[in-house]
Amino acid sequence: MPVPPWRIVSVLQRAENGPLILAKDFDRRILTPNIKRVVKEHDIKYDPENPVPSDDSLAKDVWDAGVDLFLTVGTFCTTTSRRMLFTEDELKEALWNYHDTLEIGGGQDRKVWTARKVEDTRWPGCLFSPVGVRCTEENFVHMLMAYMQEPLADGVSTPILERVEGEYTKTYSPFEQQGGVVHAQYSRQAAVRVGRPGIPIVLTGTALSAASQLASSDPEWGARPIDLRLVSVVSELKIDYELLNKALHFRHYGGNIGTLTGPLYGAYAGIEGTTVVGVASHLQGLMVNQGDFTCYFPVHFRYFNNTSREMLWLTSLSYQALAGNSKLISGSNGFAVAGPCTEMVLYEAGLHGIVSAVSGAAVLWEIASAMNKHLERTTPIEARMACETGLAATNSRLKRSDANEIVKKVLPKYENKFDSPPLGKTFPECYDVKSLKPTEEYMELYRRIRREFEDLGLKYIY
Amino acid sequence: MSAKSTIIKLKKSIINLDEEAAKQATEQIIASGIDVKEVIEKGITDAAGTIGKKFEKMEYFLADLLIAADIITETLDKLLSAYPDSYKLGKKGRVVIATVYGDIHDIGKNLLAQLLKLNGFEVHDLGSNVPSLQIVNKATETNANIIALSSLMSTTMPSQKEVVDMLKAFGLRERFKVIIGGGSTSPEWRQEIGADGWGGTAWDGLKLAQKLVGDEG
Repeated sequence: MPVPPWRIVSVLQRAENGPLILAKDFDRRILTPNIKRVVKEHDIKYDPENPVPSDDSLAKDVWDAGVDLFLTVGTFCTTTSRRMLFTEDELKEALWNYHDTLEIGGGQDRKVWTARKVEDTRWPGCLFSPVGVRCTEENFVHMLMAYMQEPLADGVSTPILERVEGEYTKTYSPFEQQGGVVHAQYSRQAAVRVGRPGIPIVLTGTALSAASQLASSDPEWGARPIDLRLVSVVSELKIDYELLNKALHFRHYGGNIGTLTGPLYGAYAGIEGTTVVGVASHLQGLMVNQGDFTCYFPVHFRYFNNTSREMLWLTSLSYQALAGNSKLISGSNGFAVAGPCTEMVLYEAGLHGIVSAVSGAAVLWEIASAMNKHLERTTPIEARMACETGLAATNSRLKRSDANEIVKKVLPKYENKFDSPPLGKTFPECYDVKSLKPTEEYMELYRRIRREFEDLGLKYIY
Repeated sequence: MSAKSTIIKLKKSIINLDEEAAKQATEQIIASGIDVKEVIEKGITDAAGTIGKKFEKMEYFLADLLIAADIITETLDKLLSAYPDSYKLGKKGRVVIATVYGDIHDIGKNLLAQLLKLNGFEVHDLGSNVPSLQIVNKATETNANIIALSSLMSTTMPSQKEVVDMLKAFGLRERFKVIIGGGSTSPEWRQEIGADGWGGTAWDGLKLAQKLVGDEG
C-alpha cells in the first residue's frame, strides 16, 4: 500500500527557506567535491573484470557513501536557488516508515510489488515499457495494446504521443495539454481492448508540465489513482517547482508516485561517483519527490544506455546497496543502444534483466531500445526478453558470481559496437500492427538468443 | 625561474584545476614581463586542449570544465589588464546556446558551453527553458555565428524546430548556423527540421561548431 508522505509540508517549506546558493556554486563547490570525497573516503573502486561484484562490504560502502552524500549535499531547488537539507534522524524516520510492499492497479489486474534482497528467490515485478519513445497517433493505441497484452506485464509505461490534431504536442503549448488528455484516453482504451481495464499505466508522458499532468488526471477517462505517476530528479540531486507541483498534485489525488531518476555517468562524476549518486537519488526520491517507488535508469552520458560493462557494474552495485540496506522499492529501467529485431538488443536486454534481478531490484522495468530516440523504434519483445531472462535468473537461483560469469561471456558479443550500433526496425516493421502479432523473423531471432542464454545455464520458467 | 618554466607552471595549474597555483603563476608572469602572446598560445591554449581531451576520455566532468573556464577567464583578465596592448584576443566564433522552451535539462548544454569557451568561442548561454523568440532575438542582437539548441525530452524537440522556422520566417535563416543536440534528438530529426548539424555528445557539438566556423581545432 502507498506510504504516507514524509512530512510533505516540511519538505515544501525547505524549498522556500533552505540556504541560498547559486546553481553554479552548488555544482562546483558542493555537489562535485562531495561526490569525489565520499568515493575516496569509502574507498569505492570500479573493477572491470567483475561487472557483477559479489563484495557485500563494497555494497555497504556504496550505501554509506550515498547516505553521506545526500545528507551533506541535500537537494537543490533550481527555482528558488535553495538547498533542501535533511538530518540523519529525519532520513532514518522516513526509511523506517516506508512500506515494503506496494499495491498497484485494480480489479483482476491488481498487483503487489515487494522490496527484494540481493540474490532473492522471490520474483521481481515486471513493468513493460516503451519508455518515452515518440509514437504516431495512428499506431499509439495498437503499440500500447501490444505491450498490455504481454502476460508478464504487471503494468506498462507508455510512449509519447508525437502529435495531436496534426500538431506537435510541444511542451507548454495548448497541444501539450490536449495531447496529455488524448494520451490518457487512448491508454485507458487500449487497456479495455486487451481485457485488462485495471492494469496500472505510467501516465502521462506526453504531459511534461505540471498543468498538463493535472489536466490528464481523471478517474473516468484519464489517469486514475491506481495508475503510476512520476516525479523526476533533475540530474544530479535537483528539483524545481514544476516537479514539486506535480508531486503535490499526485499526493492530493491519491495513488502511487514514482521517482524517476537517471544519474548520468560522465557528466558530474566517474562510474564510482555516479553509483553513489544513484543511491543518493533514491534518498531524494523518498524525502523530496514523495516517491512510493523509484524508476531507476542510470545512463552512460555518451551512449545513453546502461548495458555496457561499467553501467552493468553500476546497476548491480547500486541495487546491492539499496537492497542490502533499505526496503526501498525500485524498478531497474534498462536502456539499450541497439534497436528492435537485432541480436544486440536482445543480448543487452537479457543481461540487464539478469543483473537487475540478481542484484535485488524489486521490479524489472524493461527496456528502452535504440537509445530511446527514434520514432516507434521499440517493441514488447525487448521487454519480454529482459523480463523473462531476469525471471530465469531468479528461477535458476543464480548467485552474483554466476551472473558475473554469464555477463562476462555475453558482453564481448556487443560491447565494441556502441559507436555504431544496429538500429534495427520500427514497431510497424516488427509487428502486424492491427493483429498485434510479431513477425516470424523477430520471433525466430528471439528464440535463438533465448537458447543461447539457456546454454549458459539459465532455466526459463516456460 | 625561466619564462618557459613559468608558462609550464601556469599550464599545469590550469590542467590540475589549481586556482591558487594559477594565480601565483599569473602574478609571476606579470611581474617578470613574459610575452603575453606566448603565455596564451603555449600555456593557456594548450591547457584548454588537454582539459578537453580529459573530458573526452571521461577523466574530467562538468564541474571540472566550470572550474577550468573560470581559471582561464580570470588569468586572461589579469594578463590583459596588466598589458592591454599585448595581445588581441581573437574569438573563433560567437555562439548563442540554450536548452529550449519547456526543457529544464541543462547538463549537455552546460558541457558544450564550457567546451566552447575553453576553445576560444564567445558564448552567450541563455540557460534552460528558454522561449524560442528570446533565442532568435539574442542571436540577432549579438550577431552570433551559431545557435546551439539542446533538448532532452521528446515533447520539447518541437521547440528546436520552432527556432529554425522563426529564422526562416523572419528572413534570418542564412545569417546563422543552427546546431542541435540532446538525448531525444537524432540525425533524422536534424534533417527533418532543417538544422545545420547534430551532435550526439557535447564533444561532437564542439567539433561541429569548429567545423562550421572553419576552425577544425
